[in-house]
Amino acid sequence: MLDLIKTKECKFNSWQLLMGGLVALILILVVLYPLAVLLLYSLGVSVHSFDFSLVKYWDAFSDIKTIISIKNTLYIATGVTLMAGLLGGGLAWLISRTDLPGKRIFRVLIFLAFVIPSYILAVAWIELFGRNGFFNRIMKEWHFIDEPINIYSLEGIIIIMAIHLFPLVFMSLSSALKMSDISLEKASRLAGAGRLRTLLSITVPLIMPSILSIGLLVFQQTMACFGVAAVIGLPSGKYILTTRIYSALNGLDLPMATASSGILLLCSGLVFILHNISLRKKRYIHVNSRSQTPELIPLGRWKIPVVSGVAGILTLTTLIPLGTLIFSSFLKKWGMELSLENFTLINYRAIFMEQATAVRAIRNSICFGAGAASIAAVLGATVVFISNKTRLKSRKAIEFAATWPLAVPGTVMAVAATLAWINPPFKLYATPWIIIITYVAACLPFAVRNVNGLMQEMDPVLENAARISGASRFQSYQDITLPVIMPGIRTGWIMSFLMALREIPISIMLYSVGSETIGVLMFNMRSDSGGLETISALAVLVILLTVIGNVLIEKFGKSRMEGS
Amino acid sequence: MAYAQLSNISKEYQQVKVVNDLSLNIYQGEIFAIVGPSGCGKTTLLQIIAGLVKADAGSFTLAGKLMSSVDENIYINPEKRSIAMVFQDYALWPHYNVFGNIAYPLKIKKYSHSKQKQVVGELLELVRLQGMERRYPHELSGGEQQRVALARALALKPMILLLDESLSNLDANLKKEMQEEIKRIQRDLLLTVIHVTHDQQEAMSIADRIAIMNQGELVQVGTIEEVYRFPRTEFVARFMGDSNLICPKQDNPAEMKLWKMAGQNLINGKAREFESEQILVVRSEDIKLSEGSGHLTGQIITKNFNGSVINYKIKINDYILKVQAMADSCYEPGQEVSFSIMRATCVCADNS
Amino acid sequence: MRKSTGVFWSLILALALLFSGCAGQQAASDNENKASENQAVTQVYSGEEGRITIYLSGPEQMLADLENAFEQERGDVLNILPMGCGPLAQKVCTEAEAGGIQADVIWGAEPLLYMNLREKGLLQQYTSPEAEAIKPEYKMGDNYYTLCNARYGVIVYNREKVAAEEIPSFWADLTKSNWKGRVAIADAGQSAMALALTAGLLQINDGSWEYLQSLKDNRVILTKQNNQAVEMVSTGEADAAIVPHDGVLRAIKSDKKKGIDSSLAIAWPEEGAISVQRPIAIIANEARPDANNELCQEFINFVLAPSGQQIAAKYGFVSVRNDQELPAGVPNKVQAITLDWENASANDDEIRENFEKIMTEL
Repeated sequence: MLDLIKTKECKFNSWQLLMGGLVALILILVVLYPLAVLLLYSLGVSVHSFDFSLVKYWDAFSDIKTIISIKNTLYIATGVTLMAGLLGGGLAWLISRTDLPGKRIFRVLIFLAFVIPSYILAVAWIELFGRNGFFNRIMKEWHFIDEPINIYSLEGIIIIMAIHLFPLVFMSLSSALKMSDISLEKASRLAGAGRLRTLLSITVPLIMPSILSIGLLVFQQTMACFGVAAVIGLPSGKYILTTRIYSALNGLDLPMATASSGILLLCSGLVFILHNISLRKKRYIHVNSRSQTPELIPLGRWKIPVVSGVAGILTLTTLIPLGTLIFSSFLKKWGMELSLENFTLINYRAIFMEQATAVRAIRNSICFGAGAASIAAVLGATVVFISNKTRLKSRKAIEFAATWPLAVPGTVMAVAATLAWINPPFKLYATPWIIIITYVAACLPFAVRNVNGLMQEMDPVLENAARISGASRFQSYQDITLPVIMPGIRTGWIMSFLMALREIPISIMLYSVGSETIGVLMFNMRSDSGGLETISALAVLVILLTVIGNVLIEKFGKSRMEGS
Repeated sequence: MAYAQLSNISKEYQQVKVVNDLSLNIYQGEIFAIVGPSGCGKTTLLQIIAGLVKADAGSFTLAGKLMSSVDENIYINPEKRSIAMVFQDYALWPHYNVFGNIAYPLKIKKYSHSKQKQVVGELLELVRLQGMERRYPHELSGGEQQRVALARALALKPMILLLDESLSNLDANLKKEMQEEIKRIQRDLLLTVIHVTHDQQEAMSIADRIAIMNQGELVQVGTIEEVYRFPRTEFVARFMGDSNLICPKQDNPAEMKLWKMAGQNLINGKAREFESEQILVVRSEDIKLSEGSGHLTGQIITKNFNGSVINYKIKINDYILKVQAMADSCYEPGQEVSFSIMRATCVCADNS
Repeated sequence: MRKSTGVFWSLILALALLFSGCAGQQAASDNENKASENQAVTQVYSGEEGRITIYLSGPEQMLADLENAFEQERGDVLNILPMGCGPLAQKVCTEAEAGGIQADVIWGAEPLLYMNLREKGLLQQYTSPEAEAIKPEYKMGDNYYTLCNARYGVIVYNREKVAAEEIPSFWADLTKSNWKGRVAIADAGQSAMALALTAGLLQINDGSWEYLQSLKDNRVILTKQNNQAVEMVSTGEADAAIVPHDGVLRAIKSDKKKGIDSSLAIAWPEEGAISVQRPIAIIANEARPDANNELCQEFINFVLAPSGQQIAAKYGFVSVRNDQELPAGVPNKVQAITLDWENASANDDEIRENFEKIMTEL
C-alpha cells in the first residue's frame, strides 16, 4: 500500500512533466522553430551561409523611416487598445450590469461587428467618410466645410481597428463580469461608495486579469495589422512597421524584412513582459459560486440617451458596414443605387461558376480552419492549464511562446513557414499540412488569451470542492475547471475559425494545387478586377459560414453541458 | 479510542509555522468546534484533515485508518478519505444547477440516474429545498446556497463533515436557523462534525466540544462549559465572551482591591493559595450590582440595552469593569453603584 | 527558474540551427560538387515526372483558358498556381533563400525579379523558336528569360468626375493644381509594378525626382496595389490614377458584361505610355527529368505562339510579337516608352528609397 501511494504521487508529477514536455515539443515545432529560423535568418544565419551579424538591425535602426514607423505602430496600438477597451468594456458593463433594454439585439450586433472582415470595414468607412464619401458630400453640399475631412490618417486606422477589435474586448469582459463576485460590489456600495466609484475601485480591479489579457491581445494584434494600415494609412504616406516589412519583402530584401519582423517581435515581447510584471504578486480570485445575479442598475432618466447612444454606435460599427456589404453583394457594382434594376445574383454566380476552384476552396478553408481552430483550442487550453496549475519551471515561457505569433503579420508567418518547412526531411511545403500548421500557430494566441483570464480568476476552491466530493484530480479538472473556462475556449475557437476563413497572406504564399483556400480565391478575384461587389459576395458567404459555425458550436457546447 | 486522531501535525508556509506540532482527538458523533482568530491556522488544519494540504510533519488517523503520515510517507488523496466539507464561500459550481451540484459526488461514485434522483430528493428534503433542483447557484440566496452546499457534502454519507466558516456569511437570523438545521441533521444522521469558525458565540451554540486555537497551537480543548467556566489562559478568557481580566498591579489600587475581592470567590484552584502574579477572570454576568454604597463602588459610564440583558461599563478609578445585568435593572450612566463579585477563575498569563 | 528557462531557449535555438543546418550542409556539399556561383541550384526535384508546376500571375480566367488550351494538346500535365505579382515575387524569393524554388516555370510580374534571379544563377537558359517573331525592343535577358506580354502604364480617370477639358493629355498635367488630392498611385515600396512605373516616370523626366515631388505636393493618394488604385477611381474616391492599362480594360469589360456603362476611361499620355513587360522563365534545376524540361519548353513556346498571345490579348495584354494586333481598347497610335531595365535594376533600391522618402509623412 505504501508503495502504491508513493507511485500515485509520482504519477501526477511525472504526468505533469510529460504533459509539459509534450506541449513544449509541439510549441517548439509549430511556433518557435519557424520563428527562430526567421530570426536567425535576419542575423545572417541560414541554409546558405553562416555569417552572423547585426548589420541589418543596425541598418534598420539608423533609418529614420524605421523609427517613424515604430513610433506610428506604437501610437496606433496604444490608441486602438484604449479605444477598443473603452468601447468594448463600456458595452460589456452596460449590457451585463444595467437594465439596458434590447440587450439581445445589441449582443448579436456586437458579434456581427467582429465577423465583418477588417478590409471590408475599412472600405465601408471610406464610403462613409472618404473624400468622396457620403458624409463629406453632404457637408460640402451644405457648405459646412470646404475641405473634406481626411480619413486617411493614423487616427483613421485607430478608429477602424478599434471597431474591428472591440467585440473581442466585449466578449472577454462580458464573461469575466458574469463570473465575478457581485457581493464585493454590494459591499462597496454599502460602504458608501457611489456607482462610479464602485465601478472604478471594485469592478474594474476585480476583472483586471481579463482586462490586461485582452488588452494585450488587442495591442499585439494591432501591431501586426496590415490590411487596414495599407488601405487607410498608406494613402497619405503613413507607414507602420508592417508596411515596411512588406516593402522590404517586395524589394526582395528578405534579410531586411526578417530584421523588421524581428523588431516587431521584440516590441511584442516587451509588451508581454510588462503585462506579466503588472500582474505579478497580485491574486485575483473571485470566480466562485457566491456570485449572484447582479441587481441591475437602473439607468433611469439616462435610459433613452444611453440606448440611443449604444444603438448609434452599433449602427456605425455594425449595421452600416454589414448593410453595405450585403447590399453590395447583390448589386451589379459597388456603390450603385439600391434599385430593383441594379439587383443581381451575378456576383454569387461568379464565385461558383467562374472560379473553377471555388467549391474546393470553401471546403478546404472550412476543413483547415476547423481543424486548426480545434487543435489550437486544445493546445491553448493545455498551455493555460500548465501555466496556471502546474509548478513546472518553464511554464511562463510556454505561455509566452504560445502567444508570440500574435504580433507576426500573416505574410511574415508564411515566410517563416517557408524557411522552416521546405527542406527534407521536414518537408511540409506544398502540402496542406503547412497551411494547417501555420494556422495553428496563428490561432494559438486567441485560444490562450481567451482562456487565461478566466483561469486566473477562477477560485481553486471549486476544484477542492470536487476533490472532497470524491473526484480525482483529473476528474475535477474535467468536470469543474473545463466547464468554467469553456466559454473562453469557445470564443477562442470562433475567433480562430474566423481568422482562418478570411486570411489571405498565409494561404496565398503556402497553397498548392488542391489546397486552395477562400483566401486564395479572394486574392485572385481581386487581382482579376472582380470588383468589390464580388468580394462582398464572398465575404457574405464567409460571414454565413461563421454564424453557422457559431450556432453549431453553441449547440454542441450546450448539449455537452446538459449531458453532464 | 478517538474517531479522528491528529498527532503532532505541523505545517509551515514561507518559514511561518501555521500549524505547530498539534495533536487532537475527536470522538464519533460529536460536533467539535475549532475556534480562533483569523490567521490562527484553523483553516489550514481543516485542509490538512481534508487532504487538500499536505502536512510537513505528523499523522492523521480516521476511524482506525491512517490517512496521512509524514514519517511513513502515506498520503491518501482527498477523494478517497470519505470526508465532506462545506466551504466558506460554499464553492458551488456555477455551471451546474442545484441538482447537478448535489448529484456530483453520486455521479463520481457511478450511482444510477434514478438512484441519484432519489438521493438528491431526500437530501433536498433534509435541507428543505424541495423543488429547487433546476435553479442555478447565482439564482439562490446566500442561505439557500449554503443548504445546497450542505446537501452536497452529505450526499455520500461522509465519515466526517467539515464546516469551514460556513455560517459566517449569513445574517444573524439565518445563522441561527442554519445552526439548528445542522444540529438536527447531525443528530438524525449521527454525524461527526468539525466546525471551524472565528465566532465563539457560533461555536458555543452549535458544538459539543471546542478547541481554542492560537498561532498554530491548541490552547485549550474541552466541553463548552469547561472552556467557558475554566479558561486556561488569558487568551481563552478574552476570546470566550465578555470577561474582566484582573491583574494584581501594585500601582493600581482599585484593580488590586478588585483582585483581592475576586480571589475570595475563586472557584478553581481553591485547594492552593493563589500566587501574587496570578490573573483572575471575572465574567461580566458574575457581578451583582446594587444601589447605594458598599464595599466596592464605581460609576456607570455606559449602558447598552440588549433585549434580554443590559451591559454596563463601570469606572472604578482607573479600571473599567464590564458588567451584565438583568433587563429589569435600571441604573443610568453617571450613577454611583456598588457591586459584588460572585465568582472568579484564575488563568495563566499568555506570555508565561 | 531562470536557469531552466535559459536551457529551454537554448534548446530551441539548437534545434532551429540543427534543422536548418542539416539542409544547409546538404546544399553546401552540392555547391562544392557543382562549383556553381552564388547559390545552390536546386538538386532535388520535388515534382513528379510528366507534370510541371508553374507559378504565375494574371487574371485567373486567362490562366484557365491557357491551361485548357495547352492541356487539350498535351493532356493533364500542368500544376498551375495563380497568385498576384507581389506574392509571386515573395514566394519565389523566399523559396530560393530557403533551399530551392519549387516551381518549374514562372511567369508574370516584371523583369526586375527575373534579372535578380538570373544574377543568382537560378534561371535556365532556353531559346524558344518563337522568339524570332519578337519585336527587337522586347528582346532582353539573353534567353534566361523571355518577355512575353507588355502592359502599358497609363492614366485612368473617372468620366463622371473629370470634365472633358480636364482630361489629362500629358503626365505633367497631374501635377497641376486642379488635380490636387485627386490622383492615386500604387506605392513603389508595396508593389513592384508601381516601382517599374516610377522608374518609367523618372525616365520620362530625365531622372529627375521633381515630378514625384510635385505629385506628393499635390497630395497624391497612395495605394498598396495597382488594382486598388483602379478601385479608387471607379468608386470616385480618387478621380485619376497612374496604373497599368490591362486591369482597366478588364474592369470596363466586366462592367459591360453586367450591362453597366463603366465610369472608367483611359487617357494615353502624349509623352508615351510606360511599357512594363511580363517575362517567362524556366527555373534552373539539374535534377529535373528530361520529360519535364521538354514540357517547360513546350509551355513557353505555347505562350509565345500566336494562339497563346491571342488568348492573352483577349484580357488586354499587348503582344510582344511583330505579327499580332493590339488588344481591343488600345489605340494604334499609342507611343510606348520602353524602360531602361538595366538602369532600373541597378537603382531599384534607390528608387524605392527615394519614393518612400518623398511620400513618407512624419
